[in-house]
Amino acid sequence: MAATTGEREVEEFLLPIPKIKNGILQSVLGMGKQLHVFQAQRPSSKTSGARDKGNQTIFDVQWNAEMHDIARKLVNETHNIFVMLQGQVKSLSQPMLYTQLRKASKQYRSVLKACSMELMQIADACVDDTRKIKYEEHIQEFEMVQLIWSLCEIIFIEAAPGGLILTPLLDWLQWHFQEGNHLALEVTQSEQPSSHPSYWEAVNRLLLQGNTDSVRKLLALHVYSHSEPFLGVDELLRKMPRWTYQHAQSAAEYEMKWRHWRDECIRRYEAGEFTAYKELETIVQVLCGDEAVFRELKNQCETWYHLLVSKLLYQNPTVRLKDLSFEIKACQAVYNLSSPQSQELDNILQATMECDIHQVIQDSCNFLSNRSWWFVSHLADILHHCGQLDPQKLPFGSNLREYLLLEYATSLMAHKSLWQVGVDYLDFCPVFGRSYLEAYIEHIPLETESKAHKVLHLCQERDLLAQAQSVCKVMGMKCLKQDRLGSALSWFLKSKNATVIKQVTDRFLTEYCEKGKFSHLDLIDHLGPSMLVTNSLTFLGKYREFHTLYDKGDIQGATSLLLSLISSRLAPKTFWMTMLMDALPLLNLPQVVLNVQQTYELKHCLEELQRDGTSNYYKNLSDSEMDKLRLLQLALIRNLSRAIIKEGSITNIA
Amino acid sequence: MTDFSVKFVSKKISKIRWRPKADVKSPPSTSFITGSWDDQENTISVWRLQDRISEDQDFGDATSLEHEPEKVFEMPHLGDVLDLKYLSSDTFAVASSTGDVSVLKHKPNTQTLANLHTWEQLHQFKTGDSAPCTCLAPRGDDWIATGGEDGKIVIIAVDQRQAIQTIEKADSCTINALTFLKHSELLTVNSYGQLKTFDLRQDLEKQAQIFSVTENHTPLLCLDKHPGQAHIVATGGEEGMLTIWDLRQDKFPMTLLEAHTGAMWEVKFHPYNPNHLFTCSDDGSLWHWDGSSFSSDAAAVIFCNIISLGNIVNITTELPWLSLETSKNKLDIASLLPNKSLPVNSLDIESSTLLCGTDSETIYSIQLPMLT
Repeated sequence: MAATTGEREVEEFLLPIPKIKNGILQSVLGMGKQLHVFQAQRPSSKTSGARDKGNQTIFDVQWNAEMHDIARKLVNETHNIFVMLQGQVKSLSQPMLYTQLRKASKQYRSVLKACSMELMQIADACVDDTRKIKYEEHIQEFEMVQLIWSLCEIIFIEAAPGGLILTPLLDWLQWHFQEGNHLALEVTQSEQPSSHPSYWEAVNRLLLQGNTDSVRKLLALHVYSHSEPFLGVDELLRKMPRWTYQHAQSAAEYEMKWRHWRDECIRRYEAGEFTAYKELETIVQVLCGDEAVFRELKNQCETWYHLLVSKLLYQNPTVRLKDLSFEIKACQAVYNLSSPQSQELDNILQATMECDIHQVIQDSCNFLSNRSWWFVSHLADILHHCGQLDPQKLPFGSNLREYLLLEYATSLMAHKSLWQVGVDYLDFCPVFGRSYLEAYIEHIPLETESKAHKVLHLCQERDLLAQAQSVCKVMGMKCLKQDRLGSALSWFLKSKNATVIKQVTDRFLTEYCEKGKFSHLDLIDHLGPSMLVTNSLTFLGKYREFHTLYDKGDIQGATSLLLSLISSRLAPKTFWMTMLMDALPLLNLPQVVLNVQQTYELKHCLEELQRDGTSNYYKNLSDSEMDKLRLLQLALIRNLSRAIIKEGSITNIA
Repeated sequence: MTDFSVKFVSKKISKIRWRPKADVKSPPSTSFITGSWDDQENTISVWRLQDRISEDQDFGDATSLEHEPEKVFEMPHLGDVLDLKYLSSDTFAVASSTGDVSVLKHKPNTQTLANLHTWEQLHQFKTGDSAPCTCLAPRGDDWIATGGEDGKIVIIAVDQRQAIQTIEKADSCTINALTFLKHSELLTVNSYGQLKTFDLRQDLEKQAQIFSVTENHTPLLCLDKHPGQAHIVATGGEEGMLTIWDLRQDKFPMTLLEAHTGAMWEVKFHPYNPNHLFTCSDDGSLWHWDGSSFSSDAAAVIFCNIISLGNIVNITTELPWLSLETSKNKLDIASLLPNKSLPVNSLDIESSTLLCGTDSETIYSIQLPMLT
């Protein structure tokens, strides 16, 4: 059972748990965003060991674990960029690193853009309305993230302190507000562009984005484009000074040129050159930076931040980063209160323009992270490496970057399939990454052997020895429960854990006692040096070797091996009798193969077994086994006498 | 620069296979299939490799890659896809972690797939739980041998509902890969580091031969036989070791080559150019082993430096591909992927296009023009 709810729209989800007497609800954290909820008995002081194993249901509660295909694409593609960037952070120094950070920021944005475009294609092709709405929500989210990211890039990553900020802000507008271009395209493709209803709207929109080239092209399409007023506007637009990255002009020089140009605009406007056309007058008013006309055009700016940049372009193009914030309030006042969602976005953008980086991250966390921590974690990572984030530790021990990366990694670990990516992110969290990883790894379900191999490799790469052991143990125990002794042994051998290996070898020996032969010979016969891993394996391997020798007819070799096995006391007591019985045919051979010393050794063993009450061997013996035991005792005594005679006679001859 | 393209597919790819050509004379295949693993809903997908010229109307600056794979069909699959093998140019078999084995068919004249039959829970543990079916080996277009974590080998015929033959105690461990050596001879590798041969005509509870690679029982995970000489087999192990076996020899039948730093998930000889071998690994790398400078007429072979991305590793070995004991030539190893990331699970090559699928949810298609 799984329930998914968002944090924002708080939904209640009721778990159908019957109320039991004395019951309390308990929960255990699973992988990331997962809780296992179950009902347990209130621990009573009297009967601590007793447990009610009644009708127990364990509820698997997950939240925010869903991820659509495109989001997964984003996760995987940016994972590569992230890992590569972390490598560069280690190996490069400034200013090379700074170049790479800027590049990484652009790469993240281009992946975002590609994903958002792919989502649009999917949404367009989608026929199911409810799903289409879902897709559109995702698109909106992607677009918002892009809008915030690119502004953050301009303000926190690219901007030189004290440098001019307007040109990148205009690029930002043109990139994210495409309506003007769309309208212009529509207009130019119509038969009579200047009578198209959107003609002037297109002109104004482009003008407000400072796209003067396109404005001039549109104006040239007007039927009266050769009239004086049109030519005048065209001239003003053409002469408008532009600040560019390339030209080595100083800000002061640019400002002087610009003031000169604006004076000309004002002069010609006041001379009434454009009164013939109301629309042209509007254009020139914009060029003059007239306050009232911007308010008129507020719908073509759509948002306060568009208006802000447009106004700055025509009123104060040499604005510096630190002065940006003074203009915000006035522009926001032009617009009525907006929907709560755009309010959140507005707050984030406002904080960005006010250079309040922690506010940006905090608001983004509240607003966007309910679906995904992707944005804040990656942005914070870049900003951290740029030196923009407060490197101070948060109260609980790590810094902001790590805190956010841990959240993101946790959300990946919660996903059925993306845990491998999550692990890579945890690798780059120096304070808590490892302990998170240790906790998560033990929760990864191991459905198949190949997955277990992968998890094991992951542990070994990171020197997580305890976790590697635990993977082997979990797999081995699972095999043991399913009665797959061979596979169990192969897993336990990896962990070289003597206790669990002994469980397997004991099962092998029990099986031998019951059936009189070994299964799994392909393993036991090929133990090789693994035999030395634990005593129990050494015994198993050697005991099997004894049988092989005996079957081959190497009586001497078999005898001495058996004796050394018996005298080494490596075998579990329950198996001693079996070994002694194995000696029976050797004792009954026509020639004497066991000498006096060896025979005493066997007798000692038998007596030790008889003295030892704990093995309970004698109490449960059947009649036939008692017969065998008597036979053994008889054979031992007979062999002893034969050996004494033989050894005595040899001494005499010598 | 090696010419390659990356496609993010939103599923971890466990197996990738070229669809074989209908007959020898037809042009190189442009279609392939993939299986996914470890997902909420696993799938089998059919892809077509587009030879597109970089032109895109909407976005003048965005050039689409050449040879970009395009998904043409997708169907859900129960459990992880653990193996995929083509039986003919239009049927293939799928091994599932649920123990099921299915045979699917490309429907003629459409992009879609049809399920011909599913053998449910072909592999089971003694307790009755289903055991993952880990590997498949086709014989011709009608027989399939399957191996599983239960250590059983099951032989099925495509047109029969019941298994033809089951070798109950084929292995005490998990069988990780198998192949038909000859008509009735099977070769398997297991998690105990052993290579075994079975003769289906003889007493099935008796294995013909057991070879061990190393003494520490590192699992063997994959195998491929030389397309021309059936006694030469390459296997890959959990610690990244590549082993070349000469099955004609009883003593020391193998050459060990240190390779990847993580488990080797797949090894493959080039089907027409068996001097070239490809391996992929859990450590996120994909390697091209070029033994062509060893071939009998070494002077006639021009060494093509196909990589500019990876580092070329030169190693001298005595017996790569076996026939080169006296040769002083070097085996050239090239790493084909630009950066190491998550595990590369599967690869397949046909003529000059190498495909691989990874846990980063990507499909790479890599052009190796030297192999055309």
